[in-house]
Amino acid sequence: MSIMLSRSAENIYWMGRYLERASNLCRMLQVAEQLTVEIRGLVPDVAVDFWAGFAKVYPGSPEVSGDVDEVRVAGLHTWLLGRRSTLSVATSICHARENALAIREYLTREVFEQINECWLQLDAGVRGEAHADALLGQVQQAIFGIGGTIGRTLIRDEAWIFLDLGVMLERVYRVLMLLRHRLPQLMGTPEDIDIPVHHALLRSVLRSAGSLENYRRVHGAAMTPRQVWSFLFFDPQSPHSVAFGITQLEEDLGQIERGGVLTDAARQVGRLASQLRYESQDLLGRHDFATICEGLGSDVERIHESLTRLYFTV
Amino acid sequence: MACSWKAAEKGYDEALTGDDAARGLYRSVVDTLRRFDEDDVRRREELQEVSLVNQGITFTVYGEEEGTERTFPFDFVPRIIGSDEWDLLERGLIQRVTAINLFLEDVYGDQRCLRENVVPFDLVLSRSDFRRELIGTRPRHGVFTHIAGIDLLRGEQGEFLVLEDNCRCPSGVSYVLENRNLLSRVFPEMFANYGVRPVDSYPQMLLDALKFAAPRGRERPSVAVLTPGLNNSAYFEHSFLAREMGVPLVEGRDLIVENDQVSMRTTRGRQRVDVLYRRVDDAFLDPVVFNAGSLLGVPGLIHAWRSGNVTIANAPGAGVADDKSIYPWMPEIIRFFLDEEPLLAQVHTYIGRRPEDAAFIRDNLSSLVVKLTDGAGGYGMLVGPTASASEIAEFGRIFDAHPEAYIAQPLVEFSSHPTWIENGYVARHVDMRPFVLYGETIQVLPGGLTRVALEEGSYVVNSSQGGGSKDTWVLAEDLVR
Repeated sequence: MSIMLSRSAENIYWMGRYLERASNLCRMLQVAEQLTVEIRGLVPDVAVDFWAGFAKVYPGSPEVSGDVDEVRVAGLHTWLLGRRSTLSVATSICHARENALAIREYLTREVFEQINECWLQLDAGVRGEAHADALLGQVQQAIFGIGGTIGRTLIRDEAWIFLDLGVMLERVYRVLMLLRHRLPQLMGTPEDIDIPVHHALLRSVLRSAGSLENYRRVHGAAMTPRQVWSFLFFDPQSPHSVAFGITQLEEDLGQIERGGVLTDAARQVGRLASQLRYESQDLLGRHDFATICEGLGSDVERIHESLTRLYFTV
Repeated sequence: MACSWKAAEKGYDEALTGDDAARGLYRSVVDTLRRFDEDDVRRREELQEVSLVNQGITFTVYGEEEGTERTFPFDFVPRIIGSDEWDLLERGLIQRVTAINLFLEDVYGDQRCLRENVVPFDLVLSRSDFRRELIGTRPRHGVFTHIAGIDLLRGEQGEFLVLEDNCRCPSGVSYVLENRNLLSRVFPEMFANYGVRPVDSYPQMLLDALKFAAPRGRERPSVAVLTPGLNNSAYFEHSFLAREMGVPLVEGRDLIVENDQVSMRTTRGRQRVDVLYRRVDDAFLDPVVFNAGSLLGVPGLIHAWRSGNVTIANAPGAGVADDKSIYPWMPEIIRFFLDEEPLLAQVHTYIGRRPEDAAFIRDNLSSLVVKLTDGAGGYGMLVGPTASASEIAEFGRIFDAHPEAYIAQPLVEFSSHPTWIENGYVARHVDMRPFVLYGETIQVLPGGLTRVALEEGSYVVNSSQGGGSKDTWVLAEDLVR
């Protein structure tokens, strides 16, 4: 099928975004669970703050409060099974399934089945037929399964490119939000917190971005906030770094350029890519870390708007 | 424990004789299934259900909570039709679809059959699906109904009867293909001794028929399936057919008509569409010509079609041929246009618009099946012999208000088929919808949708009313290997 309807392109783009969002949320929930077990005996307030920080990384979602057990239960329920929250795993997979239903003719049978099965698992949880604790691991496995099936079975045509654009845009945006809200408080010297806890929190940032093991392959055991920032921003090979995502967006847009004419979206992505390539030292030297992340986040939002204008509302 | 088999107490049993023994064609299937105990069957039935749910092979039920999705219950005991019998059926179906198309070409053209009173003039012109706006329009090759689904049932002697014709957007073919796929995975043993004719060539046959219908001069026509959208009860099928044919699935909002040309909004700008396999009812196709409030259609589509720039399959206006009050005239229509005797018999029908028939219907509601002439899906009908006194009284009041909107037929004790219910094989009523494609030639898919009424004694087989379906096997040769 060489022709791609604008509506289908939009649906597959959003399917990619929702799947990536669900994957990120699942991973962050796993990290929060592990971190809670690790530090609750030492610094329960830090564990509570970590759970509460979800609402900042995923703006618009409800806030949770209480002691460590209460925020853990409420947090897990809210971001895994939350119905009203637009940013729970359940709603993300539900939306991804709706998108998949609208573009079933572009998907392989296996991909649709995997998404549908994942939704059925979550739906059982939403209806109270399965427990959130038990579901988290299963759903994460299911989401890995979806990603693997997509990679192994989908043809690399225009639909694939729009899917990848959705995945990458969502990934870059969420990594920026993660860094914006999780890293600044770790930047200073940890005076009132002990070093193992500080390292546990740094590891949690890397894990939340699915990059701990990749970081270690590059930097070994050494871990400072600047190194973590540098890695998650500029590493060209780590699939969850901002630079990697922007390069991927650049390549994707290059493949669907209209008649060789540089589009707004391609120009915006090109500018970002150049900034990350040639201004990395300047960026690393700056201390207004949150501003940098917010600025790049706004750039990513503008790329999304350009894509919508260019391809989805023809 | 081995499972029991019980033949139908009334009417014709497709698979079993009066002493619960298997008929010839069914012997191997019954022998195979007899080897499974209850637990084996349950395990496989669960596998089958999980497979349907996981694959999202569902339909949307109207009138319930919005977006309620259900699987179409599948019964694994296949319906088997021998090759000789199928040959007869095939010839009858081709004859009927040929006549239907000639009738449509005529009523929107010369109206010879109306002038010669083969079918009453006022009857045709008063049908809601007769589109006056389309008089004088002749689609490419004169074909209005490219895809037809003819509902059949077997009478008490085992003879096939036509129950109704579906000439607009007949649905169900996706289940024909999915049922075969499912059965071959869950009960592969059953196929061992049979030469079952495959059904998976349907998408190719359909695409060929659609391309053949493309406007003149379009050597590589672009085809799309037009759906009302995700909330339509048959959306799964629309999406299935688009995927299997490798063509886009479009909604009205994806299309635009400019200078009488239809285009799709794509990521590379507007791309011309030559053939639309529409699964949207006439009334919603074009707000300029039909229902002005339709958000599902495309303004200007009908004008583009009349200009010969796009093919709409099935053609607008084709529904007049499957109106239930035209059905009684089908034998005459066949004789008039083909000068042949009908090869397939049909059920005697009373017509509510005839005063004498209306009175008969009113007096005999408890023994008749009464249907809306433009109804479908089992909605708005009364099955008198199984209805309660209060249901009959209530229906009588509705009927009295508009008797002309109804037809009635005697209840045919149509055939039953062994069906797995709880822990044994019991008789349940079945009908069958074969699919006929009108392209360069007329072809019948060797198979069809066998629908089964899952409730004991019920005659209602519609999916929306609790019916299920079966795989339908047409054998390449009658002899079981």
